[in-house]
Amino acid sequence: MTTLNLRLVAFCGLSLLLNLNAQAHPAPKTGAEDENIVIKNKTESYEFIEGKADNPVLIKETKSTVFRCDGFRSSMPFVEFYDDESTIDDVSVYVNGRRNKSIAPQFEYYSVESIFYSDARVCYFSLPLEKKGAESSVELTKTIKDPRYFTTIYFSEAYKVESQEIQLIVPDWMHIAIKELNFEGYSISKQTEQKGNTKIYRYKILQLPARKSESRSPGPSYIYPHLLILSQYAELSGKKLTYFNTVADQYAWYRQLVLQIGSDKQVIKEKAAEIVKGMKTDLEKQKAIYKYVQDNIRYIAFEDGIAGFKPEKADQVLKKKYGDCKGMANLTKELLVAAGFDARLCWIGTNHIAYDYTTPSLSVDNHMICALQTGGKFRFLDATETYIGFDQYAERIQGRPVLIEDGEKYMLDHVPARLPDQNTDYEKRIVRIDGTALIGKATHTLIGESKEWLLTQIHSLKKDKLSVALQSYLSEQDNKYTITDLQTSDLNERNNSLDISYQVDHKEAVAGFGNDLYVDLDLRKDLVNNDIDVSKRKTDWLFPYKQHLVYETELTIPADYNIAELPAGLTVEDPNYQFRISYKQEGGKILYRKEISIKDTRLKKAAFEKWNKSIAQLKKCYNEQVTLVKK
Amino acid sequence: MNRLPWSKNKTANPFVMMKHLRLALLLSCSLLQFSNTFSQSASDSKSLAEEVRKEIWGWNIPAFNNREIPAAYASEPAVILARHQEIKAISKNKFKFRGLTAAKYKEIYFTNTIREMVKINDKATLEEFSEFSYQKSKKLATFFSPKLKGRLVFLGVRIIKPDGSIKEVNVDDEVLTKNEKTEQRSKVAIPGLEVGDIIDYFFCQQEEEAIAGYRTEPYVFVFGDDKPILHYSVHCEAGPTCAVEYRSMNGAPEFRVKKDADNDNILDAEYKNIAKAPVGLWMSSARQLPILRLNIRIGGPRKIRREEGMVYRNQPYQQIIEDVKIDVKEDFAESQLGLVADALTNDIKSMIKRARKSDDLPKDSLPYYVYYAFRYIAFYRVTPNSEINVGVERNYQTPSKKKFLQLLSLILFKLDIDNKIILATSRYGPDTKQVLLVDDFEYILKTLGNQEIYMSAEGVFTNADFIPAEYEGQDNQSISIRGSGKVTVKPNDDLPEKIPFTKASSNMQKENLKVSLQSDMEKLQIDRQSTLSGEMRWGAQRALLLFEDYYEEERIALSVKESFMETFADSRRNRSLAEEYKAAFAKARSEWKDQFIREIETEYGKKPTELSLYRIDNMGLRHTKPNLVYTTQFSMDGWVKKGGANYIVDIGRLIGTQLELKPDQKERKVDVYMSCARSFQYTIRFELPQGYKAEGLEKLPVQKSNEVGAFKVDARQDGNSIVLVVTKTYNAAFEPVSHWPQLTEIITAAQDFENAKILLRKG
Repeated sequence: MTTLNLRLVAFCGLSLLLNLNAQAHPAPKTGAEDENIVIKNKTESYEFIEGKADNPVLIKETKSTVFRCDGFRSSMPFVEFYDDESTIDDVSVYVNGRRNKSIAPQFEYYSVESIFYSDARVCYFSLPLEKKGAESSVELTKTIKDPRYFTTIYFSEAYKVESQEIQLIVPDWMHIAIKELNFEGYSISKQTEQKGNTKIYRYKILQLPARKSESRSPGPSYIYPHLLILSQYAELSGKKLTYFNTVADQYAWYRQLVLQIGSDKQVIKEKAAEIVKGMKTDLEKQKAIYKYVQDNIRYIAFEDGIAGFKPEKADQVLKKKYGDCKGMANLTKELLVAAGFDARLCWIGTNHIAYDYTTPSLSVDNHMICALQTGGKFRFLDATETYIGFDQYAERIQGRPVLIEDGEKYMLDHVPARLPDQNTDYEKRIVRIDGTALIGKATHTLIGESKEWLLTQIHSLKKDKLSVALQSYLSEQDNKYTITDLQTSDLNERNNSLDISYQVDHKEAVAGFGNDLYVDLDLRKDLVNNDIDVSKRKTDWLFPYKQHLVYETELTIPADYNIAELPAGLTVEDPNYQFRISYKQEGGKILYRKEISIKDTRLKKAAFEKWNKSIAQLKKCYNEQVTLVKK
Repeated sequence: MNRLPWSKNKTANPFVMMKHLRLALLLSCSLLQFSNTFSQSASDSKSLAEEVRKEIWGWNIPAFNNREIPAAYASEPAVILARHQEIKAISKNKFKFRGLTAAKYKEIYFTNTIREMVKINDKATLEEFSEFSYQKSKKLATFFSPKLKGRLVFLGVRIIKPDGSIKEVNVDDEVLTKNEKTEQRSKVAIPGLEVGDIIDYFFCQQEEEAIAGYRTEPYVFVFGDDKPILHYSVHCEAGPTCAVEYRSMNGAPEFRVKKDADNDNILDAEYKNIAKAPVGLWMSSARQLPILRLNIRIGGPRKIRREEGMVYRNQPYQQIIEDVKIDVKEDFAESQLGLVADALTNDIKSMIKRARKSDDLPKDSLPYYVYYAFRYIAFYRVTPNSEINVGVERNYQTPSKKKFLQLLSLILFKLDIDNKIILATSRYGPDTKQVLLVDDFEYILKTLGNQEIYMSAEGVFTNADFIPAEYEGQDNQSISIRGSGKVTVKPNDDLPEKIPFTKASSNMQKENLKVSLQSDMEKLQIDRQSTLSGEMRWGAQRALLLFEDYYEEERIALSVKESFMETFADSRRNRSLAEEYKAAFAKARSEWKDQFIREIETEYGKKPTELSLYRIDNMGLRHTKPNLVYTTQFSMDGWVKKGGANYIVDIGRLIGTQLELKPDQKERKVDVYMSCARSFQYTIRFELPQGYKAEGLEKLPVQKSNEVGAFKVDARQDGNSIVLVVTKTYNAAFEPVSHWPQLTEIITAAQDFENAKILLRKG
């Protein structure tokens, strides 16, 4: 055997040696942006064509993407999604200009952690880029079976795009509207051309930055340039096929699905009677039904083709004790109707979606809730929010347009927007100094989304861990903050506040040096780590809900001490938020009060600098302590 | 594959992670190396499933009729009323389930059924059992047995309501997340399940195997869970062509063994009233929980054999050593290790030649050179065909340890360096006297003669003369491996090898901090040098070292003439590759700062406001300079408070976050398995700002010392600075539970110091 061969043997042997466990320890992910691969050129074409009886109008999609390696050879995951309403017809892979048939695309169910089942499928493979400057490309054809499901075309990709052309080929018999969204700040040009009986729309995009996934970011429809395609109607062989020409069309489509549900009214009636038994007022009954669904039906998400739009029978949801948002909304409605109330199904797009019903499309909504009409106005019930109170609304639906069923017609309304005080998290501590500790009593009152957040956390824990977890939360995981005699109101109650009280012993909250005592009256330094790295952050920041925190501490001044210094406190007023911190002396007591309000959950990029300054002021204020001096 | 489920992660709970997939996972633990095809019509499958359900629901096991929860467990979120696992490896004639067609030759059918009945007492447990996700069928490798059926898994679920009524769940109301000829995966949402119910469910896995093949099928029964178990039973039936071996550990029950009329071996074991397993901090489940291990072997010329029809209880460890010999020979032949070792020896010989030219390599450094040369070839060397991988993910590569050390042993021997392989047992697995399978051993190499050097193969940065702490303190057998075309494996008859325990001073984290107040009087400026030795280096080496740097250092140390970058740059064919590596190095370096920020955040529980300097001072690649040393300069806010004209400094925070015992960890009833004996030393020089005097120094000193360790703080003023020296020591890797109060004392003292403060008084 020659040395070369021996080397080869050695190499193969070592490959075996290393490959066996190469993945044993996943390395941490780094946050740097990948500029190694760019999309040199991408062309996409969408053509409306005539189909067959079941699907009279199809959209033929062809895509060609050329990837280029700008740094060092590697391979990249190529991914294309499809579902029950679309097919991937052909995929061709080219490496360095040559067709590579050895790369076999995999077609698989696409699993999303929060969704039990959806019809989403993924076609994927690893695309090699063989060296710096090398190009690999993918050509793909796809068919969308129904124009209703052809809703958006996004321009941005996971990689920077140098040049892109999107073409929509629309024969005269197809009527669509195109909405151009988030084009500002990008180099996008548009041309339209009439070629015989076909109209062609062409969009050319140059130098489009890569998409970047960031936490607490608004939904993609707010951020990235894209087209919203409104398929209105088709005129084929003298017949008019209406898709979503108007909201009425969209409603009619939803309604025919709702009419197919066919719940067993008797079962529902009996259950409704059982729930409201002995109750006198309407409000009592309405609250009880809402609570019943929140309490007893587990949310399990299904997004399965047409079933993704059609609610399951109310009696089946009742029997199974689980359902998705549609199933839960429909059960809430049916129970309310059976109890004699005017309840309706509602379609709604959460605040993840930038559109409203002025653009009828399946992209407008992603959620279903129930509307209850009382006294000429609607209250909205979303039982997927397990611990929210009656007539309280989660941030994600607040202010959002809502399509309400009204027989053959429909109604449009908005879910009311709420002020931060819907979600007040109030704490009052009455304490005195004992050595280097603050001891006394604390009470908390939480409502709205503050309460819902805490109850959701609590109930996700096994009950033997609950008390420890609650104490850990209340003490900010500070083991020097000891909680005893912890009492809470009913942890399953939605319609009243969550009340918590306990005895507190906050060790080391007081530092004594010579004749001085330095007292830290704020355990919860809220927002202290919420400054935003403006050098990295690309998108607006979304707070989970409109927070309203009010924390008060009443400290008894020890008889043998005087106040040497009270911190000045802080007032920051901004249209989006407000911080107020004050220290006051009242008789033998010091009153500390902190109030933080997030009035608008969307903090725009333009406001980051100011926000960071405000947070710096807040931090400075947190670092100031009460000074007491011995008499 | 088929490794025991115990974890090396000291804080990991091997049970809680199982969630609702628990039984499915247990089943998949016994994935087979090869077998069958699956082809069965839906209706066949359905009627077979019905028969399986009828059979299992009809089991005559009284524990499954029990609905009573003892008062002691009344407030538990969940209680396992009964768990039964049934393993069958029996002939077709005895196989009850129909639907499996005859195979061409003698066959054994395998079934593995686990049934469990759980009382659900809270929403979190309800959530745990509200969905089931499992592999329903699998077509396995078809090369050897194309006509045999594949793996089939049947699920059955019943809900027992508080009124005693039983509702069977229609598990056919499922969604298939994979529905292909080769594999089906199913998800079922459990309808009608409520808090207060009892869920009674099973997974039954059926498989076939040609007896002409070789198969070993290990099972582990752990008598402990995150829920109390009232009754846990195991039943095994093994046909006369199977050999069965088992071992009961840590107080687990023994099997009762008998033969039935078909000459099958029947094994039964049961255990009642098992309290919730103590889990969490510093546990070694394999040494602390009652565990019953079972292994079924079938067939096997040239393989590890046992006599058909026999049941072996507690095989002597010498038998497992004999098995190791066979295993090594098998591995040697399959992977052609002799040939590979020959090739590598030549490679290393030419490296030595070059090194001698440049360095006059002394003879006593030869074993070390060979170790580092081999590590270089395995992890560092780059060829034009190598994948470009120069980021931190490269640092996480681990070799197949056994193959690495077998090859190294052969190479050393070819270079006249006598050596042996110690069959090491981990403190997180069974000890030598309790081993059942060859995989219970890990290898440590030891050179013999004048220089006794330990060699292990943990990864990219393992030094010669380093033994991972998990193997410390164990008595081990050793073997010698020799050969080229054919291998000889000889157990050494000498006394068992006791791998020594390392001392706390060998596993050390040393921090030198120069701290001052920034001019804004709000932030601390921290100049820090960290030195990590022994077992303490691993995490930081992996997170912080760059391939570009460690490659170059090792290349020079080994006297390798040209770097791969130079070689590529000189080659017309590969010139562009050098450019590409340059780009890849630049990318890795651009991500480097974030790694240091993460390290600081982990250490101090808080992100620095700014990191102005970060560098590696010594990579710790070799036993001659084994410590990882790095420097960081950063600022931290929130640790300086203002009180009037004075400032309070949270000086205790400078020793980083300390271990906090959770309330349920404060009381302990089991021994303490820590990673290693270890020590920490923080030297903090705090510069006083001009115009301020320090107060409160007298409160800082701590002298807490006992037989398990110490926590000590010395504080003094030195000119315009305060000097703090803080040490924390854990004397040993293992402490009996009787020492827990002393250990708690050390932990609490360190934690209390985190709150230490000094005052900077103006004037």
